[in-house]
Amino acid sequence: MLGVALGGFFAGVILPDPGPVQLSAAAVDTMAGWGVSHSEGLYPPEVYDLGLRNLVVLAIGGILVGFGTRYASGCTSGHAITGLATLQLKSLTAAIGIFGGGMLSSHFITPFIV
Amino acid sequence: MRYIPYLMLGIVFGFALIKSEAASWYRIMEMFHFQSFKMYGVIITAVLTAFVGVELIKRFTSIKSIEGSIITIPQKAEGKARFPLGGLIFGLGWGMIGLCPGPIFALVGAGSIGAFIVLLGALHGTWLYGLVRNKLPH
Repeated sequence: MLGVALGGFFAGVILPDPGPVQLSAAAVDTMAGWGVSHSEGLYPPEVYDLGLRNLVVLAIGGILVGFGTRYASGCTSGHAITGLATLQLKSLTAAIGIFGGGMLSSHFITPFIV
Repeated sequence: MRYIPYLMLGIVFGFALIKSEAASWYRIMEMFHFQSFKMYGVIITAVLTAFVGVELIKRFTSIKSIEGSIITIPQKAEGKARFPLGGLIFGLGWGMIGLCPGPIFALVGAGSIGAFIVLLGALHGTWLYGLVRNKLPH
């Protein structure tokens, strides 16, 4: 965990990529429709900057991520990547759950909380 | 000193999560809306690379762990319902905030206060799971 954070520090602070994340035209339209800025960095300040609403959203999202990861006994790298790479059916059901959940919230929740 | 190989692997992983933009809210939302192949390309590449690595380890038992022992691939935890249900709950969170567990640590390292709030939430989520695990179907 310390290593991953250090890697993030090297990649994000010492050697950051200049300019915005290169999104497809369709994604740029979606972001504009949500009223989310798309200039510098990996995430929009409207979503990650500290304010009461963002604090609540980030905390609830984090709780779901932590709870679900422990319940499923693995996350994207544990199930969708190493689980599929070792051909484990359990991981396929987890990966389907993960992507189903992500599609649901990113379409029906996120547009209303950004 | 014996932790240094683990630390180095973590650094490589964290570096890759930022540079591949797996830790980018924009890229994750784009992925869930099927508006670009890019993040699927990252995931498919990771699966194929891991598959080749695991097959090599299985076929060439001369490949040892850094402690010199034979590498065995552990099976996932017991249960059936926990995988799709837990995955669904995790996915709902991922689609809300655009961060899954690995990238949370990488983005905290990159200095994001928002990611730190997500980390605090996730720690509470694991604690909550411990509270109710006996009542959940696994």
